[in-house]
Amino acid sequence: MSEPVLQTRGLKRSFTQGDVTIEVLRGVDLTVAPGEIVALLGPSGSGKSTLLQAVGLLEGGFEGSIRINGREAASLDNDARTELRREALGFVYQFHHLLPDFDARENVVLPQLIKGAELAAARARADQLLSALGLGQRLDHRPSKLSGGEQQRVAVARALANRPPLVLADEPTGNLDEATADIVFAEFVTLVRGEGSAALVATHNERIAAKMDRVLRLHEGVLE
Amino acid sequence: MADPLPPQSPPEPSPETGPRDAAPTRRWSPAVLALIGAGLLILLLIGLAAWRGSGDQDRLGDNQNASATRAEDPEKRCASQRTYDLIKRDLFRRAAALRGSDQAAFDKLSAYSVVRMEAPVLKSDDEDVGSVSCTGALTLDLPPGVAVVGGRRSLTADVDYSLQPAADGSGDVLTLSSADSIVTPLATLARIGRPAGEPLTTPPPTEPSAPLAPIPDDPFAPPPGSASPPAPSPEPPVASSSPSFNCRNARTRGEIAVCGDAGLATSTARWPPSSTAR
Repeated sequence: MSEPVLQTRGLKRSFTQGDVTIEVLRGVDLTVAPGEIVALLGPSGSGKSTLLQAVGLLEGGFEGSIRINGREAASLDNDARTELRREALGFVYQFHHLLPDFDARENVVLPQLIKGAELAAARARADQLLSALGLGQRLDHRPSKLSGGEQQRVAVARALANRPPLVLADEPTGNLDEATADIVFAEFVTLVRGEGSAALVATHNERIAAKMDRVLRLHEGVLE
Repeated sequence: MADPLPPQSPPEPSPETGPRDAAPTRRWSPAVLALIGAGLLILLLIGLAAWRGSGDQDRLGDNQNASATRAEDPEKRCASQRTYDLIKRDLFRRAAALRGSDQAAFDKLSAYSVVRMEAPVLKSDDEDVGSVSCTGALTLDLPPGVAVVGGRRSLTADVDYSLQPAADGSGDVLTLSSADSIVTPLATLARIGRPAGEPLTTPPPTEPSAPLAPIPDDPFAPPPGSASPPAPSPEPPVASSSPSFNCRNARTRGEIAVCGDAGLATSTARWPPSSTAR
């Protein structure tokens, strides 16, 4: 059996304000296999985003173990965490967070160049991904000239540009209307499967969650 | 047995001769004594001055920093050159961290870049801790010879930043946010060049309006004795060391620096100016 792309053990996170301590994650044990698309389902405030922040190595202050692609990440220093993020993870957020001064292609090229790719290859890869998402005619359009669904498609292409073993998506279609959300999500799943990546997708949408390989339910900081 | 010699003792001065005639005391004339005393006094004063100077220097430095920081008008602090220099260094440091390499080269290039802030605005200040929170439209201008993806040499972002005096009195500590629009593309910083065979579509670099010193020699070269880490990309870069202009016609300091810098070729190969450069 191949090694999981993501494995957490006893993952905890609490926030303290004054005399009040809130335990957001209370010992999460989670495993995602290579190529698996997993829904992380839960109501607002259940800790979904906090869990994605943790496994995305975007914040410190966590207890427990986080193994990404076989590498223990919890004890890494900042530089090593940045490297692991660059090598192994792709992100899609509820808001696209595209760079406004760069066109669609450049937004997809950027992470590849940062990782060390050659420009021609990075551009070819960007064109391939954006075309697969129906944006072949919008390559040189800046984000402000794209619709919400198109912006989110570019964000999906950017997340997959470096062929990460694991994509983390936090309500990736949460800003879109239902019809557009269904289309974009279907394209997202198709593309992730086609690339052979795994994905952990936080959502509170049961209908979208049902389309994934497995559904995990997070309730009050623990997986049910 | 003979008696031992009596212990020698200075002859007691006779009332007639007096101390003037006592031979031992005449070895130290008043002039010599005065010179010795003066020398000792000078040494003492020098030592005291050095001790006080070093002690006060630290204290004065701290006080100067702290008082300068606190006494400065909060709005002027938001817009001071010192603040902009902190911002510039932070941008390059974060970009190098994101890239995972070339920290030393980024540090060098930081010194040759220019930061401009349009409409810096004070959002809040806390007199108790001496902190200020500011916002503004930041522009980073890169020196000639290097650029980021798309051939850009100017990056902009609406940033938020706060300043708080360091606990050790060494100046302000900067917290910068909303700068991804600059940091992320800055991580692709490379020498301007083009791969063999690709038509030149970008005009040669020109001197910016602000005076800039030439780029240092080979900012992307690895430090002596160290091998550059292998590129993480599965696709090896295509080597190309041709700058995007004819070096025979190099005239600006940036062009001359680039032409004289073969080491930048490694980074040049990462991306030439694209046909979509604006």
